[in-house]
Amino acid sequence: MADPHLLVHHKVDNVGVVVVEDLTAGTEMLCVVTEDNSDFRLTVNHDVPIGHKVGLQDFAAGDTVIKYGQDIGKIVSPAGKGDHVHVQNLKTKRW
Amino acid sequence: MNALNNSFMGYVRENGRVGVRNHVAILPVDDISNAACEAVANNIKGTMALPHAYGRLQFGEDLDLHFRTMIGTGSNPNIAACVVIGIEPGWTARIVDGIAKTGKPVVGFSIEQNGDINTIAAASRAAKEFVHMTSEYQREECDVSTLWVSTKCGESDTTTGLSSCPTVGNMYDKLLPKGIYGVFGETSEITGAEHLCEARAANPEAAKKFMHIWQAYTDDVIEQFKTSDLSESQPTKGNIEGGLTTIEEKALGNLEKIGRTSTYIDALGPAEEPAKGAGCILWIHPRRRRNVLR
Repeated sequence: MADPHLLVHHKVDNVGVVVVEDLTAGTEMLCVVTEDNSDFRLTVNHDVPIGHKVGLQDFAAGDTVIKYGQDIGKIVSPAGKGDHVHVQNLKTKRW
Repeated sequence: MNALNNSFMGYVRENGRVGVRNHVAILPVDDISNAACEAVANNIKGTMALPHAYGRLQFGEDLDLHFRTMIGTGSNPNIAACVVIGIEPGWTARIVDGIAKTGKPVVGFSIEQNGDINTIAAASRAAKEFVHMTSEYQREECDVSTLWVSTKCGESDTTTGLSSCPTVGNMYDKLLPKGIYGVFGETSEITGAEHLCEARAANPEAAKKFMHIWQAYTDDVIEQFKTSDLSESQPTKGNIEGGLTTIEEKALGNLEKIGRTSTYIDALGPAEEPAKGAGCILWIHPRRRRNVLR
């Protein structure tokens, strides 16, 4: 298998993590789910740095983001499938 | 470490604990003795000063914590011998006597009535003797069950949740069944994964103790005083640059360090001595890295 661009921890996760440097908008990423080694393709809409998250679905404000199969916070401004998901659109539900 | 016969090469101390380092520590009782300790460590190569910001004007539980922390640090088996320097003899002796219970060589000096220069000279002579003596100590082959492995936060980014934290967890899953002490230290950084952490307790008491300490920290330290959602503090600015967005996400990566099958047998407050034998111990600590001596 070619080297993946994006790793997803669990099958139920709706975000994945970029694992390559200098990923540019428009790249058709190879995405691998580490839980079962399954893979899929997704086009990324932004230049996303290594270690940062990409949405695997369209999100509306209030939606819950799932990573490690767990709730990691809520969407505060809409984000599309393939978008960079970070502090500009995702916030903690705590504190 | 020899994985084939479950052994490692360590320094067996007077009380049976085993160290993997052989430090001569120069330990200040209080912040105003830091400079004297650093001067001794500068004079005598092979010693290590452990300066800190505490030990004056503290009282009650806070002071008890300070004494436990200092005595615990000096008692650590990675320290072969210890020179203690304080501003006055009373509290200096309290820490020296606490460390001496391990049986290791320890001696105290106090600055009042002696002055910095005379104290540094006397403490340097004692430190020199300790280096002569302890540099002769040899490592011995020790059973892995005598090993204590402590893990602590190490500047999270998303790769830590993908790689290094699960690797540490895998180590615990393999070594805890062989009888090691595993000490897993976290604090506010478990927030967002506290329900998962609670479920990993080996018994209801440990779960209850963990939740009590975590809840008290949340209520007494965070909720009362926060002025924002803590973003840039938890997660830190560096964590955010690395790709972490929320405390929940950071906590879930941190918890990977506890492994997939390990359960913890006890949850301890700051500088509390583990007392339930070998196994995984969760150490809830409000300050970073004070339970780790490298």
